[in-house]
Amino acid sequence: MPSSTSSSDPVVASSELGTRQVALRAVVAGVALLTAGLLFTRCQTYVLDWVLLEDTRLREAVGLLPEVAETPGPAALFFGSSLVYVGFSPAVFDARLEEHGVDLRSYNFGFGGINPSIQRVLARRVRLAFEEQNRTLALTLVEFTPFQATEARARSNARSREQSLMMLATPTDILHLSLESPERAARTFVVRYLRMGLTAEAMTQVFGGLATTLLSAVLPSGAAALELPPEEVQAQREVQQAGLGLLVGLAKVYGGKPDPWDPEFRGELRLIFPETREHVLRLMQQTPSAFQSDLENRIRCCDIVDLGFDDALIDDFIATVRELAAISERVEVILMPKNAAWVKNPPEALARQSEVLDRIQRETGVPIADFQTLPGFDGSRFRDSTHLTSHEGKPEFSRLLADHYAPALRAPPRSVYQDPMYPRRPTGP
Amino acid sequence: MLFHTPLFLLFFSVFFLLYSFVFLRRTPRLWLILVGSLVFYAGWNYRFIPLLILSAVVDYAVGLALDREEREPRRKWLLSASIVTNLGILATFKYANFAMESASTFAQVLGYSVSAPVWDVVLPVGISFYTFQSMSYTIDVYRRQIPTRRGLLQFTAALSFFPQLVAGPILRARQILPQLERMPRPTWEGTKHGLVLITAGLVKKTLADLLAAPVARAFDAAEPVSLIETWTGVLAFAGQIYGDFSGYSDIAIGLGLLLGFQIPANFRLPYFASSPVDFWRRWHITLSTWLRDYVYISFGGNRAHLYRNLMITMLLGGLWHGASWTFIVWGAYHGILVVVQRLLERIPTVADWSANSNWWARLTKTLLTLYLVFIGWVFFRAQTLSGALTLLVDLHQPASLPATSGEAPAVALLCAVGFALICLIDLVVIRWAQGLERRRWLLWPLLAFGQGFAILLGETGHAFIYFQF
Repeated sequence: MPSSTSSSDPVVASSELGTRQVALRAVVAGVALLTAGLLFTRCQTYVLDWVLLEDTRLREAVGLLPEVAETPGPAALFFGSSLVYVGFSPAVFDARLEEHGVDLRSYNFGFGGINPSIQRVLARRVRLAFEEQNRTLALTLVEFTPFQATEARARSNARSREQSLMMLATPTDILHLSLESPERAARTFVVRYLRMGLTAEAMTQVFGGLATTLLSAVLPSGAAALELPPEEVQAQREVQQAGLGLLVGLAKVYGGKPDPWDPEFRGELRLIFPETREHVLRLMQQTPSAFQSDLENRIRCCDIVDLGFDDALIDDFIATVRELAAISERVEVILMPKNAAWVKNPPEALARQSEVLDRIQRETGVPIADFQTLPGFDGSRFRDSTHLTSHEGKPEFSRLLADHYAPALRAPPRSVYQDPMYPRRPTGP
Repeated sequence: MLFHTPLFLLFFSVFFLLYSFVFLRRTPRLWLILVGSLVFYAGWNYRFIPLLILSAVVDYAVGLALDREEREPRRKWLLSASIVTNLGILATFKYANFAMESASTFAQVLGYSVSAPVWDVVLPVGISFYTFQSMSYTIDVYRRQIPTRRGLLQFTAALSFFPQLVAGPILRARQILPQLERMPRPTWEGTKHGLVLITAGLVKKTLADLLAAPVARAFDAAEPVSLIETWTGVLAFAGQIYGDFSGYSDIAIGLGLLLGFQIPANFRLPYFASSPVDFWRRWHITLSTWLRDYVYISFGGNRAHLYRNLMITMLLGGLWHGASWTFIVWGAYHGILVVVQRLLERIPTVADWSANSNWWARLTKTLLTLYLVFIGWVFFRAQTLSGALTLLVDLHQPASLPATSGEAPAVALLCAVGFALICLIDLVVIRWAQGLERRRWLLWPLLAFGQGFAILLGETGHAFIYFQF
């Protein structure tokens, strides 16, 4: 049977070229095509840098770690999830501490879209940066987000974890990985050094999301969307417009795109300026349907209500705390305020959470400060089912933290066990 | 090692340089092909290399013995030894657990309490492909269609030839052995065409991976999804499996061309088929022709028991894909389609319509065939038979499904575009590749764009679907 290619048979041996000449041309053509492809990709990653904020923020923060570690004077790190990213202001915290007579420079190391397995790698990078400078942190707060450590989160976050791990890999990590899996090591190298830490999955999310959003605006919506009352539909439109207005306002303030991890604001998500205040306040007033939709999304992706924990992620969190404790004079695990108006955990879930917290405390030796049920932090302090508002929740919580830790920080560094803290979980069995 | 990964690029670069500039004589090149192919295979699991070697050695020895043996009963015995060895290996690794589970289920239905032992076995990658390839040699030698080959090195290199080792196209011995005998020189025209095929394959693989999410939404969701999402999932899977598999085949053929080898086509615009029979002349051509030549014809072909032979062939085709009732039902479904088509074509009116080539008739036949093929894909992709049947009901009974969510129409349109693009790429390559290759000003920018697209969006963590077969 004569063989054929998937086109009609190519003209065979019409060229006078020898084998080596053909091979040389093939090599040149292959290299040229690959180079062109990589340049195309590199251009796209530059363009998308602004869009993929969470990944860019993580990469920039890691890049600025040496600078953070070198900065003289006592420093504090608030390490956690998007709850910290959105809900902690280093400026307010430091200013309040100064009123208590404590001189400290704090940093917001909260990142969205991560889970403890990513935090573990990030914590290691933080430790290495500070060890290299032979410095320690005066205070480290490590946020434990219960719904980020669930089995549902482990499943839903698999790609983002892989991408973040590729982004944070050091040359030594890649070398060790090559002994375990050459395939993964090669992929990690390409992502880390040729694609600015952005995987194809991240690109696909952006382009796919953009295409879907644009088409959804043009195509007839599904029936479910039509079930919303007119005032809700109007409110959602206003929120969308406020979002666009915020982007335009921020572009004016920063003269372009803002840095996702701005060293001037020490990692704070600074949104409120004269040009943007009105839009931010509008954005903070989400509709009940938006809250409901956000809660349903959290239930789907993260099991936020029933809290089926993942042991491997708890192990990673414990390792994260240990990494940071190694370079900290004081370290404490904290739980951010919970939007109890929407997130109502059943007793079994709370019991599981309690067991997990006991385990964390037991295995790290670090005390836990549970701020989930703070008085005064009702539903009005939240912009969705989990995150604090920028104009009220964030500054209030930052001041509360400063008031809480000021007594300990005024005292010389010693075991945090001995300091009176409120509210505080009992340590040990 | 997956074709679309940096590691394979490194491997092939080194291999190509050695093949083209260092190992210029036949025997060293055969060693390079063999060693390189085994290194490639070891990228998955080096422990199964002995299995590949065993298959090669047994069939090589059987080939030599067949050459010396004239007595028909003894020749049949030798052939049986080859078939039993190859199918035995296949059955052990691929079908043992399925057979035991099915027997246990059957026993339980009859009222016996039996629990099947589970054998913790890894399916060696490519086993379905290289065992069929190896058997084709001994069967052809037995039928005296090809002469016995001497040279175990050449035979083993042919069987393990890495471009097509793990997911085809299934190379027959008669196709690859003569090429390894004469060691063809790559030409610049062949090289250009190879680069076109590799780029087309990478782009199709990328598009296929992008279709994965809507597929999972329809087939793997814990609760029913809307009608649009259900149909979108089926359409997306049709695109995904075609883009994935034909993409792999294209890359394999392209790699072969870069080395000077001709590997047969595996797809020829299957979604343009005008009937179920026509579909199988266009889909996974190397498997369907293998089954035709070695199963269908062996059972008598169309000379006796036509419909029985068709059903057996299609059932075995389904079973070849995997140890699961869904694959068997998929094979049986296509067998029924083929048999029914043959039966209907005996009616003059139907035969006339089938032969009608005006655009309206062709469009109708193509759309009808597409619908029937899509229904078949439901069985192919579903995890269980009950899941497949539930999905089939959902496709045709919208009242029982939840309302469509806001983004579903947009996702459906994007999937349709992805599906169309995959088909369009093949159309361009099959119809216009030569013209394209003569126009350098168009060819190289297009290839660069294709490479850029594949690098930008290609998710290197996704294996090819047919690796699991």
